[in-house]
Order: sequence, then structure tokens, then C-alpha cells
Amino acid sequence: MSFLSALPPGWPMIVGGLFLWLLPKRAQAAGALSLAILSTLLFWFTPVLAADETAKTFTMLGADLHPIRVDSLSRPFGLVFHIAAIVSAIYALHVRDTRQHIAGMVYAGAAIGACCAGDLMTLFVFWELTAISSVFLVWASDTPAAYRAGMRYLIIQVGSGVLLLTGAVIQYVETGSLKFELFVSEGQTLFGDSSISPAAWCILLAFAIKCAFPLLHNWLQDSYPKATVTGTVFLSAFTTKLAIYSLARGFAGFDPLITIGCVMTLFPIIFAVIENDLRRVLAYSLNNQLGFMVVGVGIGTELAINGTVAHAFCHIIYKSLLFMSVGAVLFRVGTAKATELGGLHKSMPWTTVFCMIGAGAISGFPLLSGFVSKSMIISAAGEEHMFGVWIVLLIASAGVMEHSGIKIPFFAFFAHDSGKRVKEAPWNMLLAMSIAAFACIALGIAYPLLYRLLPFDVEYHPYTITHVVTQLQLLLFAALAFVALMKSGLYPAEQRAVNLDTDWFYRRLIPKATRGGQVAIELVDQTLRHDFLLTLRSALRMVQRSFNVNGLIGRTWSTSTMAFWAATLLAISLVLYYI
Amino acid sequence: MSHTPPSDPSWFERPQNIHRMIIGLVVVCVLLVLADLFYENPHPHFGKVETFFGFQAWFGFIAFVTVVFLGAMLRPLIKKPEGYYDPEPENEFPRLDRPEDNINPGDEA
Repeated sequence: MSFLSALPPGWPMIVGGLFLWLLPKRAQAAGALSLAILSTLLFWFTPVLAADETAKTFTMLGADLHPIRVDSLSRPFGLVFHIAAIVSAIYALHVRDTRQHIAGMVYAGAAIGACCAGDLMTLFVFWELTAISSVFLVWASDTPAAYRAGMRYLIIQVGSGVLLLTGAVIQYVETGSLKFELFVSEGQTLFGDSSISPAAWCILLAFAIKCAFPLLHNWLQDSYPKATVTGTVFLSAFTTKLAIYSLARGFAGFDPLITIGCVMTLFPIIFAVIENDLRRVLAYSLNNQLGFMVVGVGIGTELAINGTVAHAFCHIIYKSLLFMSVGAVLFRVGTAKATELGGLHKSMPWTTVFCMIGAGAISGFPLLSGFVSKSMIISAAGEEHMFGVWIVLLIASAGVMEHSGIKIPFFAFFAHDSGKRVKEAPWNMLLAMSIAAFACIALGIAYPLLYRLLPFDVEYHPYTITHVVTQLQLLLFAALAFVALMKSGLYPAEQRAVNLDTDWFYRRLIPKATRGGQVAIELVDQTLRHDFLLTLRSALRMVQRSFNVNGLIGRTWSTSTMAFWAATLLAISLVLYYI
Repeated sequence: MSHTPPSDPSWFERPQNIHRMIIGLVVVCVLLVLADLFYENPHPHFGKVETFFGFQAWFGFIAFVTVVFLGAMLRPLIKKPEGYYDPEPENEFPRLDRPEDNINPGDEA
């Protein structure tokens, strides 16, 4: 038993996942689901560290490591990661692709291990494991575009891990400790006299990449929509929320994060308005929701951190639900583009209902999960009298209503009838969606259950008259604005197009700009290679010539010549002996 | 998957029902603004703004319209044809992992 408790949480999924290929193809999906359930049970009974306790230490190569730290901050993340793993595994029950099952399980297990890591080295190992395992979910699409997107994803994610490792090494050299705890103190800034240490800079950048900070965000919109239908559901849950957890652990109360988070809530909603691929719209919306959490981490009060954790918890579930419903549409229709869809509520009624519950939850309708979690972050900004932040979060809330609350369900299931008649989603997809939809409603109504999991004891009551009325005003008037824009024809029509984002820099600009350099390098390379080959070939020819039957070395020598040379050699050695 | 002409409008597609839904939305919105008269925010953080009559109502409306207009303005700047990055049309969609795909590979388009 002590051996089991020394293993990091999530280990059944990592270890078991690696052996899934031993099962017959039909049983692999069920095997993955059982691993997720087993891991959840184990995690549920893992003892939680009290505030004054520290994690068990063991020493390796002279450094103290704390591989397992299940405390009040990491436990809610571990729990919701397990829920997401179970729901995603149910959603993937029909898949007969060994790669995806292994990748999904290892990925989920690694994310859980990472959020329970007490030191930077353990964090780094799991951090990279999430990157390496998850890329297979993108590659499993088996298209050249997905292969390229997966490569870009892998380079960026592994790069983030390398930065984390660099930061960890600097931290160790500077302080002699690898413990993963707060890297910033009150009043520190990014630049200037009171700037954070180089180690903190590296680690912050590593987190920033995985958290999809503005300008570092585009791997998300690039790769998630290219993953498989079931793979995207896995992807949406773990990587970015692991980054949120890490930020909350290492950078709580770091002021610049408030500004970054505000930018992060705003710009994706504008891109989402004109995006045609609904899975890409969801990726932008994911980005925008992360912004709320980053703001929460930046404010850093007990209410704000509670709000961040609660919002991450609810977010994982409703975002999975939205990706599952759009995935079900993609699965049946073969496309997730708004221009090709519409009128599907007639043939996929259950998917429509589940999608609308998810849309309501992300928008923050009362009685649904988003309402009880997002409002904590907005209230935290209010409590700190940050007027600008508060206004930005309100705009962002109206924006969420636009892209996820209205655009996704409206263009997929209603709008103009595309004439497409398909079957309802398979039973396992419906089951997974119904579990997630139930969770969205349950968290919205039985919110004290959620609040009990949060790191701090804070009295917070989401269902006040003021809050319910003002929130409904915001959302329904946003809906009214949508109706007005649609009726007046001012709403921008859906168009088949790709929209540029920061990925343009590394997919277009840099390759084009370096083409001259590439040509020069190729020229030098070719010349050198050519000349080297010529030299090599002539040397070979010479060797061949001397060793063949008539060659200097290969030909048969007469006995007298041999005797002469032997005598000469003896004479030389005799002379050398006397010198 | 079958394609039929959109000849069988569902409840949500009949014009009179759409009209009713819009009327219903307007009525609810009016009621929500009027509700501001009947309660008082016990704990406003930004007194002047938050207690302004129907603040979140008109703010939500304006924010929504602004976001949509900003999107519409951004579009001409960043719009590119679909094959801009990946010219091969067969690249567009992922493998769908339908169970029938495994029984007869290549059978389903």
C-alpha cells in the first residue's frame, strides 16, 4: 500500500494506457474508460494535505523532490481532470483506434500528475509528457494538414517545457530548492527595479505559452480544430487548465496578469465573430474563458483565486460539452463549418438540447454552472474597486454570449435549413454529453458542493436578486442585439474563408523571409556536397585501380622482386637496430 | 446522410413562431429593465455606474453590437481564401472514426 501511495496521481492511466494495445481492438475503449474510473477512485481516497503540512520528500541526485502534493488547490483540478477523462472516454467508446486511446489516457494521466507535482522537476516531466502524448490526438486525423499542425503544436509545447526546465535550473542554482511555490511577492513587476527573477521569467513564459497568452495563443486555434472528433474533447480539458493551475500556484496576485487577462478576454471574441469553422470558434472562446481565469489569478485575493478554480472546474465541463456537441455534428455531417450547417435541430434534437445547455453555461445563465463561477471573478474585481477590469469583464461576458451562447447553437442547429438529414449522434456520445449537461445544471444549482472544493473558505452567494437580474439583463439584451442585427441584415454573414492570426508569422512570413537565406544555404551545401563527392569518387577509383589484378598492390609479384624487398627491409631494420 | 429540400419547416422555422419568440424576448427584456425599479443593489462597488437605471441592459446591448461591428471591420483585413495555408482540399476534414469505417475501410466518403 505504501508503494501505491508513492506513485503520482493519475498513474493508472499512464501505466495502464501504455498497455492498452495488448487488449483486442473492440475492448480498448472500454479498457480506457475503466482506467479512468479506477484512477478517479484512487484519487478520491488520496489524503489531502492540510495547510501546514508539506508533501513527502525524497532526494534524487542531490535535489529534494516532492512528486506528490494533493492539497486544497491541486485537488479540485485533479478531480475535474478525472471527470473530464471519464466523460471523454465515454465519448470515445466507439473509436477503434489504438493510438487515440493510448494518447488520451497518457495525456489525461500526465495532466493529473502535473497538477499534483510539488517540485519543478516533476512538473517538467509531466509537462512534457502532456505535450508528447497529446500531439497524437492531432496526428490521428491522418491528414497532411493535421500532421503539419501537430508538428507546430509539438514544437511550441516542447518549447514551453524547455523554458520551464531552464527556469527550474536557474531557480535551483539561485536558491538551492526546486519547490514549486509562489515565485512573486507583493508589488513585483515584469520590468524595472522590482522585476521578477530570471527564473520566474522563464517559468512565467513557459506557463504563458501553455496558457495561450495573447500573441502566444495561436497554437490553440491552429491545432485543436484539426484533431479528431474525440481528440479535441480531450485536448480542450487538460493543457490550458494545467497552465491556469500552475499560474495560480506560482503567480497568484501578480498584477501584470490582470492586464494580460483582460486583453485575453477581449480579442478572441472579435475573431470568433467572423470565424467559420465552429471548432475554431470554440477554440477562440476557450481562449476568452482562460482570460477570465488569468484575471482571477492576477487579482489574487481569496475570492479571486476561489473564482479562478471554480471557473476552471465549470469551464472544463461545459467546454467539453460544447466540443462534444460540435464534434457530434462533425461526426455525422462531415463538416463543422457554419456555412455548411443549419437546421440540424430536426435530425439531432438531443445534441441540440445538450449544446444549448453548454452554451447557456458558458454564457453564465442563472441555474447553470458558468453563472456561479464567473461571477466570483467579476465580483472579486469589484471588491478590489478595479473599475476598468470590471467593465472589460462585462464586455467579455456579452462577447461570450455572442460566440458561444448564440453563434454556435444558432448556426449549427437552426439558422437556414441546410437540407442535411443525418442520424442522431451515437448513444455513447449522447451519454457523455448528457453527463456533462447534467453536471452543468447540477453545479449551477447545487453550487455549495462546488464551493466546498475550493482552496479558501469564502462566503459567497451568487443568487442575489441584484446579481440574477443584472446578469439576465446583460445576456438577454445581448440576445436582443443579435435579433436586431439579424433582422436589419447588419450581422456579418458566414463566409467560407480562413482568417489570419499570429500563426501567419510562422506559417507565412518567416518561411518567405528566410527563403533567400535558404537558397544561399542550399547553394553552399550543394557545392560542398558535390565537390566532396567528386573527391571521394576519385579516391575510390584510385584505390580500385591499385588493388585490381593489374594494379600496383593487387598484381602478382615475381619471387626475385619479393626476395629483393625482403632483403632491403632486413637491411633497414639492422641499420635501425644499431642507431 | 440524405439531402432533402427544406420543405418541412419545424416549429422553430415557421415565421409566426419566430415572430412570437422575438416578441417574447422583447417582453422579457422590458420586464427585466422594469425590475430595476423594485429592488436595490445592497452592495454596489461602483455606486454611480452600477445603480444607473438598467445599466447592464443597455451595456450588454452596446457591447454586443460593438463586438460584432469590430469583427465585421476586422474581416477584410484578415480574410483569406480557404486554401491559403493548405491548398490540398482533402486536408480539410479529420478522420471521423465512424465504426463502419473500420468494417469497410474507404467505403464511407
